[in-house]
Amino acid sequence: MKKKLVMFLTGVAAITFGMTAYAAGDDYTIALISQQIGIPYFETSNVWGMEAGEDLGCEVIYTGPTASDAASQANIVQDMITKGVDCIAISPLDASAIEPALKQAQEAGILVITWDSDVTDTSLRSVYVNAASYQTLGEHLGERFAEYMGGEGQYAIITSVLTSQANSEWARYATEYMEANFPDMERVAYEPCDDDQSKAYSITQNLMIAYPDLKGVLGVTTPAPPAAAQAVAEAGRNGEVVVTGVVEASVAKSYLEDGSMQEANIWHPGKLGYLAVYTAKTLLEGNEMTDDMEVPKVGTIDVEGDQVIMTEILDITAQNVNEFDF
Amino acid sequence: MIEKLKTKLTLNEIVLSGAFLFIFLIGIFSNENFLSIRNILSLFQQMSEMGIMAMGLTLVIITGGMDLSSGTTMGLCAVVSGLCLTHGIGLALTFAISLSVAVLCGILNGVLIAVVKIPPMIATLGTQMFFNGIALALSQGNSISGIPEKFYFLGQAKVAGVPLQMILLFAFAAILFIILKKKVIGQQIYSIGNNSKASLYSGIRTTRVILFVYIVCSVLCCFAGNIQVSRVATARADMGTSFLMICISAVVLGGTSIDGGNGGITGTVVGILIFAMIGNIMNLVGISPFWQQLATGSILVLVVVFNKTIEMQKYKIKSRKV
Repeated sequence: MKKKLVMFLTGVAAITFGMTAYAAGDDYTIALISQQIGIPYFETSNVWGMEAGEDLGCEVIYTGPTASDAASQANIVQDMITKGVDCIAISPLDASAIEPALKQAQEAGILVITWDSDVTDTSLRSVYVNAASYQTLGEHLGERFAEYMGGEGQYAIITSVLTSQANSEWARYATEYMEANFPDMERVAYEPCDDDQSKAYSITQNLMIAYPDLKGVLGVTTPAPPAAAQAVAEAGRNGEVVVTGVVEASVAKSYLEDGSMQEANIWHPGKLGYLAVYTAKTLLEGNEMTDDMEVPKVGTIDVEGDQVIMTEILDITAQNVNEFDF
Repeated sequence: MIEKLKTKLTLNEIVLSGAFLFIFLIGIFSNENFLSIRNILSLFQQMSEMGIMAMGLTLVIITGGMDLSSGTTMGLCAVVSGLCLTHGIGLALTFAISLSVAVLCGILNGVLIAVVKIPPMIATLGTQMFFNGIALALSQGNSISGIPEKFYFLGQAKVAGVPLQMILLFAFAAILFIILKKKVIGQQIYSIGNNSKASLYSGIRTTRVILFVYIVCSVLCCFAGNIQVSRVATARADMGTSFLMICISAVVLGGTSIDGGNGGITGTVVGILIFAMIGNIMNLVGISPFWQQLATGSILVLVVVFNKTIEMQKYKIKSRKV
């Protein structure tokens, strides 16, 4: 027993010392904090973020809550302040719950930037690294959806909750785009699914009954397109009712492959993580991110006010879905 | 019997202090910031909510019960406070309302368990969803922000450099310690855990004691909830839900038997402290939180196995002698 215990102690001590040695070196330390670790979307950001760290010669610590828990994300920020990182790049799980912790970071003289999603009080961070402006993504969603619809017919949009700014803006720009370019398209419904996949599923079922001529469902929140595709497939109407929208490749894969969903439109979460680290490093060096700047591996970016915008949106179909690992 | 109990407790305490010291040493050697006053204080600030909730659970578990609803009670109280505060209700009244909700939650649990005689696991599994449902309905699933700054004192203020919730944590620990060790009701709590039927026949009003225990647990969850609301300036229905399993683990790690009848507050506080230190050290060193769960899990299993082995060996030796 004693022997085993000693062996265990030595083992843990060795690991710890090993980690300490590993953590040393490099100039800047950037904490890349996601909303939740272990989910494909953010793991892609992790991989690319780490790659950015290697490319740019700075140390990147990727971390985040193991469960969707806003308070534990605040704890992580506090520990990062204690650790003395140079920059905290965070995707806030809750736009306001993180603010007291970010205030502490700011007081400690740490550069704070947000990526993926923003905080309510924007004075707490230097810049927000955004995937795409509302208008770009909204119009892109509308354009791709209309193409599959053939530019005519009745369609419905499923959103998250009516109060969600991002989702509402995407839906608004998509609708406006289609109204302006395809007068033969008619929006018959605009329904909130509360980000609940089963609710989005029954909404789609009901819509297909209420509007027998329904030709398409556009989901502007991630649970909506797979749910709509499932309902369409079960009604045996693959292809007759078009389904596209914002959804991760890993979730969309099976629906794209069985033909119940035509396309998934989303930004690349890995490039977003890369850009977050790139932005952090640039700002730490005292330089600025400028409009139309060429960022290696990410592409041309836009800068609007205090937002760094990646803009590129992926069109994921059954043909290329296997190229994406998120 | 008393002799045996005494030695068993001490052994448990030795193992626990050993684990504590071991992790503490790792902390000191792995990061120079670990021992800084700033980090120690923020460590206590972070663990207070969990610690306060785990202390309530300790009482419940000593009676041989279980409160699976403690996490959602915390979320419900947080949402209630958040709504009161954002609707312009004063601090004192907000606390009063939030505490009344907690007391009601405790009474409901207590009545289901002590009066209706539903097994604690099942009763609190039901109320767990029930409370969470109310919290979700009240908050409509949104997070409530815009908490007035005057409320920040509970989770962000410092008294003579010490975070207020740390003082609360130790105050509650002291009160519960005295109740358990020095008061009659404390002895009754242990005796119900050892044998509830015998306790009843020996004249203990078990229903009352059980009600008391569940109410105390809910009230402590309410404090934890309010502290967290104040600390992050936001109220959410899902607050506390991730605490439940960690708190139960800490109670067990702290030497409280899951079957009831023995254990104590000190062990639980040390247990929570161990878990909080693991998380803190890993964050400071920069190790992925995945390993955090692994480390936490292994420490729990190791300490429990260690305890059990020692107990078994002692038992073997004794029975051989006989």
